[in-house]
Amino acid sequence: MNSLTVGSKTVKCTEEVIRWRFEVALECRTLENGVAGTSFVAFTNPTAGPWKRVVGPKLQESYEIYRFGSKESRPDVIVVSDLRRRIYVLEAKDEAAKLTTQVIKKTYEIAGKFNVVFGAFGNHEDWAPRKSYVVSVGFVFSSKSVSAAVEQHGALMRRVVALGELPGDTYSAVVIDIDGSLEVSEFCRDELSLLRE
Amino acid sequence: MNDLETHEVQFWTDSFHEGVWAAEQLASRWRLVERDFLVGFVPTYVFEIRPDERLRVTVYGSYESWSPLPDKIQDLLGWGKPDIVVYDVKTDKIILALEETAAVPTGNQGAQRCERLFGAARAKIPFGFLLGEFGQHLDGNSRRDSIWATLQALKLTLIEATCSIVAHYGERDSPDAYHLGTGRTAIFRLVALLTEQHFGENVASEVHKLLIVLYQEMLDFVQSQRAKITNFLPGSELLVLGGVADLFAQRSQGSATDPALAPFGQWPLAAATPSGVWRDSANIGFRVPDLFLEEIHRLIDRRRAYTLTNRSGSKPQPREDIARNIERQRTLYGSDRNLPNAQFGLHLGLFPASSESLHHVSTSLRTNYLIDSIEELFGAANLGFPRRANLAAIDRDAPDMPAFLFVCNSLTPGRMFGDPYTGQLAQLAPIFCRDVTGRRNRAFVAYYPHQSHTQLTHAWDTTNKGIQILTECVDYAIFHSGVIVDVKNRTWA
Repeated sequence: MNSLTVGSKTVKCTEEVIRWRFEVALECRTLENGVAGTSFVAFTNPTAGPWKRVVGPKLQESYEIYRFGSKESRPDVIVVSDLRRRIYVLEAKDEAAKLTTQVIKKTYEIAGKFNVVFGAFGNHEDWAPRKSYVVSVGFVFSSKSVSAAVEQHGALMRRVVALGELPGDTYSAVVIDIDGSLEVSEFCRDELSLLRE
Repeated sequence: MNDLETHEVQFWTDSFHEGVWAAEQLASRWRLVERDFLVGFVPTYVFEIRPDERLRVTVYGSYESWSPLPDKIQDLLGWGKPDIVVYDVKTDKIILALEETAAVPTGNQGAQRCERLFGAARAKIPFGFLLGEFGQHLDGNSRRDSIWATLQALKLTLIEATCSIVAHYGERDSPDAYHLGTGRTAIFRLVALLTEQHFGENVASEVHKLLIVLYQEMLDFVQSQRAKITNFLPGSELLVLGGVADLFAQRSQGSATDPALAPFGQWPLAAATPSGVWRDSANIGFRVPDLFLEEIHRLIDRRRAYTLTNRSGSKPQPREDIARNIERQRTLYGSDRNLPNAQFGLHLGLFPASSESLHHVSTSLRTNYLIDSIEELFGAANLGFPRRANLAAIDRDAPDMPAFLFVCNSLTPGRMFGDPYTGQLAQLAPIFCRDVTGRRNRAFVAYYPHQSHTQLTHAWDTTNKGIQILTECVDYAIFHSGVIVDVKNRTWA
């Protein structure tokens, strides 16, 4: 597991840190673009708190779309991108190796369920244009370097293909320690680019 | 020109979301000047708390991700992890700790967080517990929070002379709406005021007024809900007296306990309880015969003991799980070479079937008993476990020391050190076994009819929240087949 220094402390790049860093990058992008609803985190799965619901955009009045049962499988993050007209159902791990075939399969199953949930949700007029968004599976992991990230992404996509899924529809983002700061990049057609750019 | 003074606090939190949520609540009192992220993800906030004073809040989310943790925080986490700890690194002082939960406040959900109140109060750290007043239960019906967490906080306030608050959010029709009800606003006002006070602001009067409001709401809640939870609460007349919330507020700030509060939670001997308590304590049977508890009920018949709880529920378990756990308990029991394994008596037939494949594990229908003397309780144990005749005398307490008996029906190995039992022990000990000055006035006896003692006697020095809470709160533990452990002296018979 990677770690970095913050002041006098060391922080391990745990799953919680990786997931949170990814969410911060999304929020920064939204704020920098200055357009409410460019993308938003509809669900995140921290250990506790009032965040067990899938909700509509938080920059407007939030509304509940779905509520998980106490023993129901949950993804780590659900992101709605109005720019790309996609909804990403994401699994986050501190290391790419932990995104095993079993984890990948479970994420596709959850995404399949949400394809139905999001398409059928019609209780709020704000959601109506989003009913036609494509629901994609996504993965977030951390890496020590850009070259390692490219390699890990390739291996991940091979596991996706082995399950009979289409890698072109699969999103992945990677959190990389760049000179002591965690930066988030995303893969687009196997090319890596900074998420905030 | 820069005459600004900037104070710094750290928010140590279970998750970044909780830390950010907490920090952003403070914007209702202070103007947010700046928000940024260190190294890309560590949230920092700068608030203007006075025209010439600023406060920088840095959120350290996810305790286990960071090292080193400040020692004081590490120590506090050993008693259970609060969601948010407000810490001043310069003075090495925890200003306050918070717990918030979106879990339904019925059943075990509320209790399983109560060890955190206990741990904080023990270290004289102010604590706020924000939870829903209402919850929708699995059956779809709305339920209101029990009184026990609030009672625990009230009693801890008196025992430890520190601020221990339970505040509610939500309404019956919107149980998980944090913005409804008074709890969230009041708790974060307390966070802001205690932080200002810590940094030398003259807000003592404001703090005191807020504490009176918070304690009044706690007293009102107990008064309005107690009849649904218990048929007897000693000192309940204080709940409706004017000025009592002020006395709690004073005590929470370190003043001596006012003698007027002495009756609060002072559980009497059986003969002094109202007649209805004795009548309601009648034996309602057992799902499985338990000779020890039957002897306790004989004490009730003689008006030497009483019970408060209503019939406890049962969550039947699959037969295979029960059979597997019995074998695990047998192995644990057999690991004590000083005891003949022949005395191990658990078998599937003890646990009555509730359906074709499920069996009851909760064999006792009552879980709390108050007994007039420890001598009578151990006498009942001698009669109840006949194969363990001549139990070694345990004489750490005077024979006439009253006792509180808690029954834990769990069969799963290790579960006694986990949720919700750890929280229950931390909740029950101050409520039933301490007076308002903190003096121990009842011995705490925990009874684990389906657990093997070696889980405790072979694990004294294990670093484990459950063991830490048990050894702090419980005086004696009675395990399967009547093995009695003197927890404080680490001896067993």
